Amino acid sequence: MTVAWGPLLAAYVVLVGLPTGLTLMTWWVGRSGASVRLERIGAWGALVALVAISVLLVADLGRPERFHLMLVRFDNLASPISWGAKLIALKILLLLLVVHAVERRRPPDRPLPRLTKVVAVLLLAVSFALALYPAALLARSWASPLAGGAGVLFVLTALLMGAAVVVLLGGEGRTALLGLLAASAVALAVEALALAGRPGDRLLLAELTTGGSAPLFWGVAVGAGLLLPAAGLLTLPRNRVVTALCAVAVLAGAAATRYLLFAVGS
Amino acid sequence: MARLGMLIDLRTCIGCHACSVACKAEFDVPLGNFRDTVKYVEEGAYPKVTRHFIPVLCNHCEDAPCLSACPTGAVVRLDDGQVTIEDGDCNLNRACMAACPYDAIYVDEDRGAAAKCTFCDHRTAEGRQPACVDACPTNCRVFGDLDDPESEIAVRAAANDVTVWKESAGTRPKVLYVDPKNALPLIEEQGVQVDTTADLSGEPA
Amino acid sequence: MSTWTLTRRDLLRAAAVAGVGAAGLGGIEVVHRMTTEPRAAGKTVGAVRRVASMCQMCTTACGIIANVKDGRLLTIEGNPADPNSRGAVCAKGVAGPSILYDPSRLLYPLRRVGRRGEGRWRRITWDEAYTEIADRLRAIRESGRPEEFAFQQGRNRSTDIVARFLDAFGTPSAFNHRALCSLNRRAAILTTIGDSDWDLGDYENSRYILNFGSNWAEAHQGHIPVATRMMRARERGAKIVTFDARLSNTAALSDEWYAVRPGTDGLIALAISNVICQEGLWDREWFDRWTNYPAEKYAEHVRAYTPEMAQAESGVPAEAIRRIAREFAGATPRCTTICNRGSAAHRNGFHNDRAITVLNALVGNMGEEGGWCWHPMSAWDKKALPEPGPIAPKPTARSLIAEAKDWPLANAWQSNKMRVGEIVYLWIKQRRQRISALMTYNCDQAWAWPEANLVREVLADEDLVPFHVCLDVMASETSNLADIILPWTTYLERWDIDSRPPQGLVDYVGLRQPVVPPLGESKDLREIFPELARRIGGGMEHYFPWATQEEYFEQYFAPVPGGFGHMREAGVHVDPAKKPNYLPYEKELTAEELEGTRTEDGVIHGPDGAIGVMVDGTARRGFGTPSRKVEVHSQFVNDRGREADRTISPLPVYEPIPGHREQLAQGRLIMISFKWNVHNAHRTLQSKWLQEISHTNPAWLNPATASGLGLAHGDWIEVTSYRPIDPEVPRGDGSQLGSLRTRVHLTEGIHPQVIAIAHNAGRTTGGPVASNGRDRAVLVGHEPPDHGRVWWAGSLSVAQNDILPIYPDPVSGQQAYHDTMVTVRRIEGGA
Repeated sequence: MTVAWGPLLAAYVVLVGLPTGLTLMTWWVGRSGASVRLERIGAWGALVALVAISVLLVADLGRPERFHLMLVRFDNLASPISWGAKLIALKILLLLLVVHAVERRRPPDRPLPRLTKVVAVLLLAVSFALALYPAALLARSWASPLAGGAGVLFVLTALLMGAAVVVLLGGEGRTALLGLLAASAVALAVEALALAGRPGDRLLLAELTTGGSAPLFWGVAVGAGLLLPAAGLLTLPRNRVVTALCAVAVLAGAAATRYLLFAVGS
Repeated sequence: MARLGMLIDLRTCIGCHACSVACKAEFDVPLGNFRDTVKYVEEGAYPKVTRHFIPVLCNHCEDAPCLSACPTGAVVRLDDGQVTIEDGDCNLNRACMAACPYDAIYVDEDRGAAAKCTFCDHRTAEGRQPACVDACPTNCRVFGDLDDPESEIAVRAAANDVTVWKESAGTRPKVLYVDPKNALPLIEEQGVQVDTTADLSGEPA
Repeated sequence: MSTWTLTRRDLLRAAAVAGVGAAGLGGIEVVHRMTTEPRAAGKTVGAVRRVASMCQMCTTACGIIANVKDGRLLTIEGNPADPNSRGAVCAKGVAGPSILYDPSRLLYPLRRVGRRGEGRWRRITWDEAYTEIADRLRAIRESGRPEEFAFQQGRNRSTDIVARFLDAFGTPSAFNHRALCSLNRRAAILTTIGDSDWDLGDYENSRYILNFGSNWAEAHQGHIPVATRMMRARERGAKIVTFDARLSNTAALSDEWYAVRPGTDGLIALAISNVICQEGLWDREWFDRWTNYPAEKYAEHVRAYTPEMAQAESGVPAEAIRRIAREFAGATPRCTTICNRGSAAHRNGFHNDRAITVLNALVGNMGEEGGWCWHPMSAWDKKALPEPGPIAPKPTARSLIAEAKDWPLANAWQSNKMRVGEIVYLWIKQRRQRISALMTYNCDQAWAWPEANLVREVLADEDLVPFHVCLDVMASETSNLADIILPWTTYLERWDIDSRPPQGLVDYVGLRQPVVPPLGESKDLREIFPELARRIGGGMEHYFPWATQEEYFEQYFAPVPGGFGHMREAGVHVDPAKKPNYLPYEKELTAEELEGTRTEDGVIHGPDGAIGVMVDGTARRGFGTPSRKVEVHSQFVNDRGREADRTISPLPVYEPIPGHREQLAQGRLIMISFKWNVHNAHRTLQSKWLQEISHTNPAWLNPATASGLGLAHGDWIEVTSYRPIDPEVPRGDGSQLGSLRTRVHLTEGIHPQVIAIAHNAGRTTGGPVASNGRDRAVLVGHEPPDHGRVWWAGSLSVAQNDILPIYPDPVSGQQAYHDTMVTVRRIEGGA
């Protein structure tokens, strides 16, 4: 069977978690009083990451000059990619607005709180949709039946990536990170249980746990991504270096999990 | 509006590949890409062993995953149920390829688009048979309207036990097989595209 | 709470950005629509010309229709008017355009520069080529030794023009490949029924078909016409049983397949005969009336061939032999055998096929509907369609090689030119006959012949072959060893009158015509030979009086209703008045036919030989044998043998292959070769579409055998062959011949004492498609080929023929293709 999607798509699936998580976590951390710095970094970071990812996505096309067809065609709304492309475009537009607003030096004349709220809510909704969307994308591929129950994992890993970046930037994300790690562990276990149920899926589980993907799964996704940071954050909560290292490990682990979700089926 | 389909009677397929080559000739399918081919599978242990010949092509599924996966609307269903790809609307995101459980779609470098079997809609529009059906020397392939009870395909489908390839994929294929020796499960893991990496190399290691 | 807020102006800005973006994308969309529509392939607009012609990808010559548009061949389909193929074609037939437009085709005459075989060429004009060839040939002809001009043909479907030129020249040195192909089968059938050398079982109407080593699904001379009839029979519930050393596609399509040890097919037929006799399942009455040997005595003769003995030799269970005998006899007259190279291409093949043929006589199915049938014409009705005159007289010069008198049955029948092809180059090397000029036509003997390395050695030797002209569509191992290469037209660019043994039992005639004009400067024999004849002169030119090829065929097809014009339109003609050739021997002779005849021992003799036989007091046509009956006992072959100092049993017998039993006991294997359905000879390897399907030939081994040798799938092995241990065979001293290196393909579908290697591989010339990327040469004056998309470049492709010994059946000269003994050993990495 032909492998339709290669490294660029893998990078895309992994990296798209970053802007999504960043937006969502900036918002979450900022709920109780946002800092300009965090919001600025969150907005810029998400925008830059998303634009970079869009470039990846376009470069992966066999006919990149026709990328726009995904944006202007509405004939097939059953297609996850169709939604994904449009959501990315919309999010870029919204982020541009936010960046513009954040960067404005003087206070705005006649601010519109309702509009601000609408944009903020829209941004969160689109981000959440983009967090879930890889699951829909992969569920359509015969190569990756893992994705069937992987929506939660995609959301959680995106949030982990966002939280890790927030923590690295000095934001208060430690509690969120620990909560997400616990949730991810549960989600992984549930996914494993689900896979163990059907013969075809059992093969995938075996590939993941004992096959060629096992080192990446146990070493990076579980070990570095879950166990190590959980242990570090719990045992040395005040050590800044340890916290930073934990955040990096979380990033690597989340990336590995997302990569495996994409690749293990093919 | 017809519901076009194909019936392949594996009892009389001699594995000759006339269909494979006729398809190549009809569309000048690039080397390494396949719209139609014949799978050879050996089964059994010496001396009770046989070889099955299974022609494979796009199934023009009633529930076509490629159709719903395409973000640009390039994959379309024609009036008579054929699933085809509009070259000009394809930007080669390959979602259709990833979605097709039959590996029936490939990247056609010459056309700059995803491509696959069209059920020869250009021929059937002129009242001709698809190229593979026309080329089949033993008439093991029958093409026609599954909804027309008078059509040969409907008659033969009714008269025989018919099955489909990878039924579990749930796509409701319109390529039906008469398969009394139960050969189709043997290619459950295969697709239409030929594995071009399977040859033994002639270069000394 | 956010630290940022938005204003109405922000919103307007955002809207503007989005609007400009959308408009931009919309603009791209419009431009894109304009530039990319329409470009769909396969849509045919405008007039497509449909030209009826005949295929020549293999020897079956099915009727085809070429779809041509603006002078370019698009596709090929079957011609429903052809009574043999009935509109069917195979992969090879459909692949025609890939041969016609093969980028590695020869398009211009080339003259060697440098040493022969060095691969350096100069493009020359046809005039230069004609001049040099005509000068050479004229000198030979005028020397009074015309036999020194030898013509080596491969597949020749232009027999009329070839014979005309060679006869006009006066050379008998016409070498064909019959002994490499079907000689034993033809000799056995001719011996037994006399009417024909080709059985045409009425498979479509048969209920039970016993197949001895014929691979009609892939390679039989009647390939698609036979295969389609077999499948129709199958739909009606016929049973097919196949004996073959290998699970061929035919074996796979059979209801039962028995893996037999090569060379034992005849014994199985004799054992089946024995069961039929013992159990009284025979049609004794028919046998006694229509054969020249009493049933009782034949029963006695086959009594020694017990099913148990057959089991011990062949591996087929005795019980299966008994059951098959009962089933076969039970289905008579709607039962028939079919056999081919699996039974015939052996050292004992003549007797194998005799035993199989007589099996039919035993159940009385001969000439019956659904039975074992034949047709007296292997081509068109040559009385109704005589060759346009003037006809050149047959040569009076003699050719030692062509006559091949060491093999008594090779040329025992006047009507059959059964040359012992495999000894030609050995005898040239041994200087048994001097060759001053050789012309190779549609043949790659330097790759395809047994001991091909010997052929190459001889062709490279300018002493042995002073002048060599090669006429072919593409460069080959043989053209590499030529002095002049002439670019030949493909079968899609030339003319022929042609037809094959009629599977429908009614003779027909077909026309091969150019569907497009010849590419480049390629030319056909029909243009080359008349021109050479004119330039050689000396009276030769008189035999080529027509101005154009069309004129010649206009004359040839004049007797057909509608003439040449009708043939050009329909491609084929069948006389509607003719009936299938069922029970031809029963035909009563008319009073007119009996006039002036005399009867001797029941045989009715006319002025030109025997014409019938008295059966139960009635004068009937009978068979074309000396006794006018089925010759179960052939004094004729016995006598021919005695003349050549060879013992040929007048009755079918089983003669074990000398040396096999002993060598098998030592663990040696029997090496056989086979053909894939998408390939024929060297020329099909030029097709990118066919090569894409089959381009590699690892050696087939049974897993049990492999594990005994410590071999796994993909392992590199060295296969070493030995000459036969057989004093009646040239150099039959059992010495080591040669080795090849290949890799193992494990399959359950092969006899454990056999190693099988497909012969459609191992070419090193002809461009990247044919040679799996090995040939990187660019022929002078030709376009460099595109290596890019040949995805099978580097795949294993091994020439088998170098280690195949020259092994003529001492009786007939048939090359014993499937009797080579080899040892196999594992080697590391193949280096």
